[in-house]
Amino acid sequence: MGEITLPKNRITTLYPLTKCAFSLLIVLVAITTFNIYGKLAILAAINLLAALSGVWQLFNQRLFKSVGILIVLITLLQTFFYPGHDVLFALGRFTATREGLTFALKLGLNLANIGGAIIWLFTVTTEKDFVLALEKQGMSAKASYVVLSTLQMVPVLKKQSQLIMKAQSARGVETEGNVFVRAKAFVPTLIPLVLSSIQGTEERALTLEARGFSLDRPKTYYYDIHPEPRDKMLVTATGILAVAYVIGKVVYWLWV
Amino acid sequence: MVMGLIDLKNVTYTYPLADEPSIKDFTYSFEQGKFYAILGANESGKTTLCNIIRGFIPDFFQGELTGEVLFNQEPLSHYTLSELAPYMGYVFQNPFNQITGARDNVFEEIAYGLENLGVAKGDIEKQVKDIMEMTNIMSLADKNPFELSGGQQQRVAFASILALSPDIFIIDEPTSQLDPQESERIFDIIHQLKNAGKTIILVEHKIELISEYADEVLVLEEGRLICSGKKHDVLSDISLKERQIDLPETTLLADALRKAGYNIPEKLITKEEMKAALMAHIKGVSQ
Ligand SMILES: Nc1ncnc2c1ncn2[C@@H]1O[C@H](COP(=O)(O)OP(=O)(O)OP(=O)(O)O)[C@@H](O)[C@H]1O
Ligand SMILES: [Mg+2]
Repeated sequence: MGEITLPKNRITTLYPLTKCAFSLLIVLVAITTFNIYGKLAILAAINLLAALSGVWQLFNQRLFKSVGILIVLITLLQTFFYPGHDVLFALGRFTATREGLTFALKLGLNLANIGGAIIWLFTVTTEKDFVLALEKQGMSAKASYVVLSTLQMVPVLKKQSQLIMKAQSARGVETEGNVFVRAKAFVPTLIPLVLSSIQGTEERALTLEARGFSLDRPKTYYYDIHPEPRDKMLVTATGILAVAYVIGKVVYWLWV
Repeated sequence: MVMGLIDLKNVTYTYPLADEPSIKDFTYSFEQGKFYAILGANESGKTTLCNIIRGFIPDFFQGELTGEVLFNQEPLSHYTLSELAPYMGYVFQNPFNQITGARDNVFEEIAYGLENLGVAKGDIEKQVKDIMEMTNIMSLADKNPFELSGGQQQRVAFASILALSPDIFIIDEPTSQLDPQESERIFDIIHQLKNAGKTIILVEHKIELISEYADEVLVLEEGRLICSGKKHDVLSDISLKERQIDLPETTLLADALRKAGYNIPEKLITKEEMKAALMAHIKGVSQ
């Protein structure tokens, strides 16, 4: 969690829920735009937003790592297999059609836009802030604990399993090679890890009680964040925009 | 019977699916402001006893509990586990599992209990800083608690409970992963707590430190309290050696000297006491 320090600027320092509202608006527009140029414009807009937030490079790295490969795969498959007549070119028995390419691009752009909106949100917002904002909005302390502790535990468990793997290979257990070889080494690694983490969960539940987790009184937030007047304004503006957009869209449909 | 701060009367407890009770007919009265050390071989029920005193048994661990557990003369079951947090601090045996995971740096990890109690922000800041200085972990403030060594986690866990400033401390092997110097520091803090009127119930194997700091010693064997009382009475009892209980070096030395025919006073347990006795002896011989 948070190895990369966020640049501090007017966008990244917005309240998490404000940024979340932006992100939701983008998703709303993305899923209701069917025109390929419209979709491209949205992708450009997200990129502009990322650039203004000072995270353009990081944002694109993350976008590529998460949906990029999927998009490439879909484009290839759909270009060749989507039924169509307008043949662009042929590769042996397979023919690429214009209909296929268009369909593939639309699907890929949808993925990039929806994924991009979410990835932008979590590139400019730490999970810690996001969960804290949700908790202050009324999400249960239990739910926010589960999210935060899971985010922290995953790298720990990963490290532990790597350590065990190393120990296994030092003892002569084959840990490298094809999927089956690795699975054979991995399963005995995982069993003690899972067992000890189950037992750890029990004790951790008690640890929380020992720290007064379930006390029924108002908590203090030592690390705290507050929405500022500009956040209220921006959320309201985003809300109005969203409503106007939906009305506009409906009116347009009815007319055309 | 004198009523103490925590009273256990004929307490027997069996874990779910276990054939045999892990605590058997345990009766004891823990008084305010005293430092109790619990000794016993592996699996003798020390942790189980702590869990009963803190109410984790039967609240969290099912199984069968009979007898009475009173806190301030009131059944412990009248309190929820979290309600007891400001009164009874509990430091667990395994340091890794006492890192809550709720916070991503040591400072906030230690502050976490105070946040739950709703303590004002300024007070949290001051209290946590004081505690970190006391436990010598100031340099870890910004580190992720999960990325610390076992010994560092152990100190963070102890500090997290110290921060709550409870009246009673139940501490299960707090120095198992610490070097002698750090162990000494922990005992020093426990000693300060006692001087501040806190009640301490400590499970610990480092017998020399116990002989120096504790008031009373309880010895468990297979879930049964086989011996208890003032530390000088219990720790000088050489018969415990046959029952696989570690005794202070002084006790062993005194026993050996007595067997060799020397006239050594009874109930010596610390090195200082032994030194004084030997000096007196030498003086007596040379006169
Ligand atoms: N959660 C549990 N479920 C079932 N049996 C348990 C559980 N915890 C402990 N026991 C059993 O209860 C007995 C006492 O265990 P306990 O952990 O209290 O001993 P201990 O004196 O703290 O040991 P150690 O010195 O190893 O910490 C043991 O026989 C143990 O196997
Ligand atoms: Mg134990």
